[in-house]
Parts: sequence; structure tokens; C-alpha cells
Amino acid sequence: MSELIRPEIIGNNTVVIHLSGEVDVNLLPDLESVTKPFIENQAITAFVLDCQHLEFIDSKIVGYIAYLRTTLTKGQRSLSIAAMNETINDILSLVGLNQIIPNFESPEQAMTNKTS
Amino acid sequence: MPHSKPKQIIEINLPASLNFSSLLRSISGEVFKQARFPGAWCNRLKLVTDELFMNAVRYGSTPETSVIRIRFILEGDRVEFLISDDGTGTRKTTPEALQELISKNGKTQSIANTSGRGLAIIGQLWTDGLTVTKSELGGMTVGFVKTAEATPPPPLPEVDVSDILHADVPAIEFVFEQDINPDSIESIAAQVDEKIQTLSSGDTFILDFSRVTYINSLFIGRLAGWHNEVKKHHGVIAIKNANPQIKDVLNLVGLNKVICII
Repeated sequence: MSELIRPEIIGNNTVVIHLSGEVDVNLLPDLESVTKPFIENQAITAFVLDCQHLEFIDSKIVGYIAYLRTTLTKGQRSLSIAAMNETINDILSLVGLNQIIPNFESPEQAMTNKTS
Repeated sequence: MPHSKPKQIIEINLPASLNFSSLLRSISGEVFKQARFPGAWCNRLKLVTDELFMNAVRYGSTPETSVIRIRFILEGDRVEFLISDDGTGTRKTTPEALQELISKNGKTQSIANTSGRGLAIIGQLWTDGLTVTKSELGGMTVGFVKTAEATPPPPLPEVDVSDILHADVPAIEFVFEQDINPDSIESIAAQVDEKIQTLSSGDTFILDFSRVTYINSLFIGRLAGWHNEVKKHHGVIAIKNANPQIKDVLNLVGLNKVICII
């Protein structure tokens, strides 16, 4: 499993997926493997993608984030993005994901918001 | 009298493997930086070159066997990028047909008007235009030109909603017998392509999604391509029995505007 994708469970119901470096089509299987157990675990109600150290994503990762968003929303669960830089915001803007997925300055802010 | 910078050509041959995507991104970033592109534009153009490389590997080459040729031509603050494949992949179209699709997309500003959704958007927004020609390796050369600029990219295009879906017309149906994953997508797509060739003018082509639980971006690109093919037959595509998640994805990317979801 790639060290560039690291899940962290916070409390009983939140998972923060820390993404680092360049996450592209080659790492899509890893991203799917990391997130799948949490998607299947209905006790996890909030997902946060921590992009603080993320430098690049390609269209395949954008597609997977879109899938995550729709899947989680259908189950009344949340997906948010934290600390994305201008490059990631640019790429997500291509399909409008930056407008429909709440984004915050830090994972902490994202978690505070989801409980408020 | 000031001397203008001489033209510089950087040529790289990479194996047709996505394992080299990262290397190409790194080189691209450095080239655009050397050409004095602002940092934000260097990152945008890295994505453009990355998508073009992915397409050349996936559709224009034999993975792990073919070689992909990449050229950067720098002249002042202008960079031309060219990527050539040997045409041994699954892509069936001609350079002229692909170029026509891209040009048509420029006129209609519809994300569904090229086979690669991401490529269509970024080609339109982030370059001075994509060109497609026959490559010296036997396949296609796709290229773009970009001049250094500090301005932000233009706003995203509106999705084309002009297509009116037909009713009460003959229908041909295709049932996906299994879920679609990266391993099966090529063989399933070939079956769909074959079925499309049997359509008569004005037919509705119905895709039955009852056994499909998940679609990824590759499949979305295929759907857009099928939409264009069926349109050539003056017909339309309809999707039936899609689950709510798939419908949401189709809505999200705007394909619900050109494909009838029933």
C-alpha cells in the first residue's frame, strides 16, 4: 500500500484520508482499497480528504472523488476536503467538484464543521 | 540589437507505461518553468501533458511494448508540446476524425463531444488549441501550443443542452451482463461499438444498467464517445435501470443533458 495515502480514524465516526505528493491513476487501486472498508462501515459518517501535502491528482482521481461524493451523500454521510492548494482546486474546478464538496482550511476545521 | 532566444527542441522517448507518468509530469513542469510560465500555469499544463500521455498509452499504443515520443519545442515564451504514438492500441478513429471532434467541441462547448471528458475540457480551457496529425511512428500526434501568460483560465463552458431526445422511435438494446471494471471495460466497449455499427438512422440505443453497480471516469469517457457515435446515426442513447449513484455521477458530469436516463 502506498505511503502517500494514509487513513486516520478520529473518534467514532470520522475518517481523515491524508493524501500526499502526486496521486494519479497508478495509485487509484490503493485509494480504492484504503477507502472501501470505511465506505462499507456505516458507523463512519464523515470523510475528510486532507490535501495539505497533496501536489497533483489526475482525472482518474477526480472521477473517484466524484464517486465518493455521490456514494456518501446518498447514505446521508459527508465528504469534505481540507487544505487543498491552488493546483488541486484548479483541477477539481474542471468538473465543478470544488463547488459541491465543502472545503476547509484544515482537517480540524472540517471536523468541527461537520459536527456543528 | 537584442538577440532572440534560439528555438530549442527537447525530445524524449518513453515506454508506453503509466509508470512513467510521474517522470513526464516532472519534465513538463521543468520545461514550462524554464519558459517562464507562472507556477499556476506550469501545474495546469502538467495535467494537460499527463492526460495526453495517458491517452497515448491507453488508446494509441501497446502497453509495455510501444514507445511514445514526446517533444517540447521552446521559442521565446511559446512552448509547443507534441506526443506521438505508434497506433497499435485500441483507438479506431483517424486523426481527421479526432481533430473534427475536438473542433466541434470548441464550437458547441459540450463536454460530451470528445471521447475524453477531461481532455476535452482542459484542451479547450488551458491551451491555445489541440491539434491531431498522423505520427511518424504510425499512429497519431496530438499537440498543443501555449504562450506564457499570467491570466487565469477562462470560465468553465456551459454544458450543451440543445439535444432534444426523441420518442417513439425504433430502439436497439444492449444489456451489460456484468459490472464494469478496468479489466473488462475494453472487451465490453468493443461489444458496444459493434452494436452501434448495426444501428439504422434515427434509432434509439438503449443501455441496460441493471447489473452495473459502479462507473468510473474511464467508462464516463466511453459513454461520451458512444453518444457521439450514435449521434452520427442521427439517433440518441438512453440508459435504463441505472442505480441512484450512477444517476448522480451522470448528473454531476452533465451527461444527463445529452443522454436520456429512463
